[in-house]
Amino acid sequence: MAAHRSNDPIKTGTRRAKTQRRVGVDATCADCGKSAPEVPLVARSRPKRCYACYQIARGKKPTEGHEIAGKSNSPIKIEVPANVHRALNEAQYEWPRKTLQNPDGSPALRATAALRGARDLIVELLTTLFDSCIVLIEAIDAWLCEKHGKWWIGTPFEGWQPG
Amino acid sequence: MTPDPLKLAIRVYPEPPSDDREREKLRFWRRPHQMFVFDTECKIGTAQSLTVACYRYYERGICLEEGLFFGDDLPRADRAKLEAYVKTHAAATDLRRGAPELRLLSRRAFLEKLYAAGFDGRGLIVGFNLPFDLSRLAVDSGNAKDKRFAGGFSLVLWDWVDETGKRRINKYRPRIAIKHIDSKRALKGFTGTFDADPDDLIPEGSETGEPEDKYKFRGHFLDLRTLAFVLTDRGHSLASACKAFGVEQGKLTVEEHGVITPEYVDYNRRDVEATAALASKLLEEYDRFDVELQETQAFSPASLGKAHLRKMGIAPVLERQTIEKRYLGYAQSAFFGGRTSAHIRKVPVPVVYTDFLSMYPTVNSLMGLWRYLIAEEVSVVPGNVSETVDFLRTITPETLFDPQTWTRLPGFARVIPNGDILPSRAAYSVESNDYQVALNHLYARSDDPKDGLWYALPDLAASALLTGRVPKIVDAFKIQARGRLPGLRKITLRGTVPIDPATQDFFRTVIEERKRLAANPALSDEERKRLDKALKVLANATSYGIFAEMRREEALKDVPVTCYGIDPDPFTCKVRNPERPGEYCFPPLASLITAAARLMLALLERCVTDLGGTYAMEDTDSMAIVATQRGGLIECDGGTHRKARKTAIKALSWAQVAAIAKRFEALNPYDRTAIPGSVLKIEDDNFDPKTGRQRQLWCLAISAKRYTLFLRDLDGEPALLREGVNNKEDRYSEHGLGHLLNPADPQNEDRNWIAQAWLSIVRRSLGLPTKPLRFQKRVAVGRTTVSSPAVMKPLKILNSAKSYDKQIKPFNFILSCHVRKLGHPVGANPERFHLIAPYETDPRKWETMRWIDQFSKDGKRYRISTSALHGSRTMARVKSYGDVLREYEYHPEAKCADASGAPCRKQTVGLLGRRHIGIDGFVFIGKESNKLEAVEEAGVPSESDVYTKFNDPGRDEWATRILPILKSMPLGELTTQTDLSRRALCMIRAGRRPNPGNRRVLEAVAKACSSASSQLDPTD
Repeated sequence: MAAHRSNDPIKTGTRRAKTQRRVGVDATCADCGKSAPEVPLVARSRPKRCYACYQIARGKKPTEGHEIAGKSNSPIKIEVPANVHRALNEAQYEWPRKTLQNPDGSPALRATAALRGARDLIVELLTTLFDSCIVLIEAIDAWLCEKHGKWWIGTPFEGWQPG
Repeated sequence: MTPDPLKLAIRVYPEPPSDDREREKLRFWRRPHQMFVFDTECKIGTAQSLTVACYRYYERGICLEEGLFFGDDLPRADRAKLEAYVKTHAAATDLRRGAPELRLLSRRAFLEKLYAAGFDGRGLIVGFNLPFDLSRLAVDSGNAKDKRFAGGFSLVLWDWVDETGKRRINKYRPRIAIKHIDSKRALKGFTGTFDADPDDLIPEGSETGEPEDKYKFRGHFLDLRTLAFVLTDRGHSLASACKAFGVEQGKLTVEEHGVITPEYVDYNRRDVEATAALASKLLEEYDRFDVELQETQAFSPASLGKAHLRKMGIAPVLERQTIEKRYLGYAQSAFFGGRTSAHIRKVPVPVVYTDFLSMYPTVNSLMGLWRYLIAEEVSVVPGNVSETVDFLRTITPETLFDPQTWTRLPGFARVIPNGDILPSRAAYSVESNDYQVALNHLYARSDDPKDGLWYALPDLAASALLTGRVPKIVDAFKIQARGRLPGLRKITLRGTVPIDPATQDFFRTVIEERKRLAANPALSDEERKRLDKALKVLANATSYGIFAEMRREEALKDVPVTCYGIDPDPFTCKVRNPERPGEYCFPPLASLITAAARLMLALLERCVTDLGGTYAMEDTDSMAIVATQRGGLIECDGGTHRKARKTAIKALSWAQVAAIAKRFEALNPYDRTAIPGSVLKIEDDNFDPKTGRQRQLWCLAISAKRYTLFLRDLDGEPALLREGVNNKEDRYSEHGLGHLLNPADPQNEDRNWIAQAWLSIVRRSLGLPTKPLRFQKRVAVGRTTVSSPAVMKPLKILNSAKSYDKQIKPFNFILSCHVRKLGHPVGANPERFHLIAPYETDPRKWETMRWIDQFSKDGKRYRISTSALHGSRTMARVKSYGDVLREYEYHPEAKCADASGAPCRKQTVGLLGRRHIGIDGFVFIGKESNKLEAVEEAGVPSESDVYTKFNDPGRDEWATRILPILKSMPLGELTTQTDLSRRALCMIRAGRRPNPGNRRVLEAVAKACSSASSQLDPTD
């Protein structure tokens, strides 16, 4: 998740550890087969499901609306997958409380919140979209090396050899 | 020679009732990502209460929060200083993710953080010497009630304020229980809580995340002092551990402790930074071993050794094998520690100092003991008496230099000693209350096999070698290994050294690889040093200690224990401190290994004496052989030669010693390309570190483990071997002095004063003038800790009506001093009297303070003096440093004999011999090495506090020997001789047990009567 200067890192760490504990070790979603931290698993779900699958199992939508800059700062809301929404919410927990709640409606804090929200969203989207690609390419590399040796001699990829 | 009658102490193999605590250990473990590091500073003095402290919170190695916190009673001015400090200093947190400000918290606010990170978040709680730091945070303490921590403290950290403003213990939060093991280790854990939160009841590693009602989360306390010990097998301070593990942010120094200044806060913050850096280095090193043992559960190098055996698929022998317990008892009774004694007492002699290469792994390898560990079946082959006798008949130096002979040594035999030179454990010294192991001539009470003793074959071979005759053997058994364990796994030690347990002798390979390291150019110096240390620790841990491991437990009441000893049938008795065999405990191997090490020294002794030579001292795996460059006679009391009309001993030449060492090349079990040459090394100390040429060493030995090596210049002036001065390491023993504070500066850890003391002793023994030591009139004071509620009890009087932060707390330092002979206050029991006092760093106040008797119920207080002749009703005459050093210098080697054959006394000097000991009964005991530090500090004056004694009703001397004689004596005669009343005697004869004093009198009378009428012992 996105890096932040946290208000209370211990509280955040504790919350995460507790959630992890409730979910159980090496638990995976019974429906999509994904595991934490790739997807947020729901501790109370039986069987264990990720948040998106859990919502679907309860007859709810697999997407949810997310207020990018926080409810107090901007009404702009976008529809994101339920799991992404959980992660973005988690990231918002770590914002300075004053920025998130902005009780006096400070325009500067509103701007900060917009920047923070946009950054979180971009990072989350990049992570979601790219992580599986990265893993896939690394797996392909390992497979090619095993099958064809270093630099995949004798394959169409031979030309990618450095130098 | 008439043997001196002595009771021998025999180790037994105990079998206490089973317990289920092992399960708790084997639970799932994955190191938490969160690490909470803290370190406290405290006031110097009695209470040592918290002043300021610092903490850091890390996630995946990144510091996210840093803060300071302070004690409840910190003066406002000091608090203002801290407030000013945090305003002007930033937190050393990660720039992107960490909290930017350096926080300042009260102790209570900090405890909320500790609770969140350590209990709720289940992160690692990291510190150096955690018991001390945790105790600074507490608001109250008591006795631990949890069985696992019996005999330890329970600290209350979390409290709350009720409506009347009174502080109450928070039952919804756990306490922290701590049980001290020794200065390097303590068991620590959270206790259970009232109405626990379901989240807290989810077990570690739960796959379902479901709470379990009975689960208690114990916490992940990582004491770096313990982990550094596990990885190096030596005690460290934070500074020395940082140095040993290459931590760049080492400790700072500060001019004055306990006074809050910005520099002092910097010092404290640096300690936490160093602790965190050290944690990361230690964990990195620990991870290289890649074993399934959580670092918070590793308490010694042996833990690491056992984890490696498990990793190789080697289950404990007794877990996979049923061996009749009586054989384990026989083997356990044959267990003795290393051979250690002074042989030439208080006469400085020129020596060549020799040492065996990795003694225990070497003998392990020579006897091929690895095969027992990997065998599919280990069995006992009983009753091969004639075969054993035939084998022992073949023992000569020549046969023992044949490695094949050593492979035949794994066996045991019961002998009726009759002048044979065998190890024995007895209270040789009347003054000290401990058992010593000695190699003396033993004589059994009778030829009845019941009076015989079991010994490992190497000990019997040593006896045959030294006496030239085979002991009388009445029973024997061998242990035999068959097949190979299925499922053995190859491992890579510390990620570098591959080992295949099925084809390689683990002990041998580890030692070989250690030597190969030196020639490996691929490794950096630091890596080489670390790996060398790691392999050494592993080799030592797995080659001996784990097979002898017994865990002494503290029970809340007497528990029945079945004991297997020298007799075929076990006996049962009840004890308060039962012992439980460790996981890999296998007495046959433990006994064989130490016996083989003694045999190796016996072989060396024989080689030396065959050439007419002798030795100054021996210590487990080393011997200082009397030798000069050209050899010749040296004046020495007790010697058999004559020089200038005085008795003398023969010094061998250096060449002769080298030739002896060369003979031991035949016993080198290692790959010669890795370890060429002999297993007997002429130590580096014998060579000038600058020129590399051999130099003349001198040795002065007083008693076992009390000796020094030194050089003499052309004028005869002595210079001790000192690290960095004239040698690679210091070569004077601290044994018996190490617990005392530096008399020049009590807060200074420098041990130079011991070197000064030794130099004075050496000079006196050489007849050279000595100056009185500056500190010799000062009270000899040691620093100890309040390690258990029992130590705390007498201090209660000082704590009464004080708030916790002003009290003497668990794990505080306290002072301890030693009463001189006849110096006890009138009416005090010398056997249960020990003076302690609150910690005071000003030596001038020591004599004016009131000291407390640790053993008095109400904390009785006394004045002390170092000049009075004896104690009075209110005053104890305690030892000064001068007294301690004098006693040290004259400490008798009671287990040896002087030239006339009498026991060695304080004034004995010169060549010592072996005593002749008549076995006058047996005492059955548990392990001897309990509370070693407390014994040294004299905090445990009663032997029952150190040893567990197991009383065998079948060998109860009172019932079987004394009482029948008393009953046969006329009552009138008995009354006259004992001064006891007729009524008391009648009751005693009817079966009532007398008190210890009366029992001694009655025993003496019965023995006198029996020797007169030869009733007691017809063989006398």
